[in-house]
Amino acid sequence: MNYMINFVTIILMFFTQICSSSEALGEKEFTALKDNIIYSSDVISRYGAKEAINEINSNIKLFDNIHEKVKSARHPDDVVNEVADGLQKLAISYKKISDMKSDIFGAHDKAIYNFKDVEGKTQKNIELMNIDIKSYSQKIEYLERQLPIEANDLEKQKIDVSLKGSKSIIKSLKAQVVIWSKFYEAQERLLSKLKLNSEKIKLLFFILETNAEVYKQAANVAMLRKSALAALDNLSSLSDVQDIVMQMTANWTEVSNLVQELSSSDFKF
Amino acid sequence: MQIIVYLVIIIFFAYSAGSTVVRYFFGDPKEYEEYEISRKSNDIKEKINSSKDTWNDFNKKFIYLESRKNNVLQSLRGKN
Repeated sequence: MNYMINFVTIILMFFTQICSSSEALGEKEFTALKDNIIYSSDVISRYGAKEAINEINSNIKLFDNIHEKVKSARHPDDVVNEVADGLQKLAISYKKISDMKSDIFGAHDKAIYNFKDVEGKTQKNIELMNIDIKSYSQKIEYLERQLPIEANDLEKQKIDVSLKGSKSIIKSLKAQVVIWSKFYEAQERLLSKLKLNSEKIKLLFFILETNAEVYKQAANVAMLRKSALAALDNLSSLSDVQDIVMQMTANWTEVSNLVQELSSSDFKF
Repeated sequence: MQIIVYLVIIIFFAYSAGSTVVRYFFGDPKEYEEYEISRKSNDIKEKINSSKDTWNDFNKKFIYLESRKNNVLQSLRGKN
């Protein structure tokens, strides 16, 4: 009966060893995966932002100039051309930014795919380490049964050494599982935030696209009626974009904190 | 029967000769696809490395621009 149990244990150990035949990832891979995630996060946080900011900057200067002219004008209609021109240029810039959307969201999709790949590798690694822990636990169980019945002193010593070694390996494997699990949790939190922010950028692009059309039409009306005030009537229906943008700012701060948390995480245990 | 066998052989050779000619002149479509993917990835990397500007920075600038625009419109209303 005892032989039977030993035989089954050895078979089980052999089987779990085969299952975990691919090596668990180490510190080097941990750093590589971490860098990969930070890069994916950078793509979503930064890709296309520089070009969009350049467009905004040129319009800030333009509207500062128009403001000066409006302040020094005696009647609003004296600056109708400047106001209409300003609104038209703003419309063109917003349209230019919103036209970047297919390029930007293509890059976002790739970054999210890349991120999910890292998540998959992390999950697989945790599974592999848990299989290893199971395998070593079975080995310990087997050795502990062997130890009291072994008659040869030399063999007994060998079993004892092997037992201590296996227990130590389990301890470090468990510590690694904790590190990788924390890493996985941080990834999950960051990915959900990045997906949300990508959606918010989509919303921002929609707002820009709509505003571009509204400003274009307001400029047209101002030019046709030769009245700067005519443009104002058409702009009064604009939705308040500031609230939406402020919400986005709060989300970006959370992403930045999560990335910092991930960047500072290391493989020490 | 013999004709069918000849036809199959001719079609097979014509197909492989044709695809070799197409690859020779226009390149392998799979290789081209791989090249395009890697080119696009490099473009993204280059853009990311070229600037630290984020969409959060854009949001701040966007709000600032909208407020400048609103200032112009308010001044216009004040002149009325």
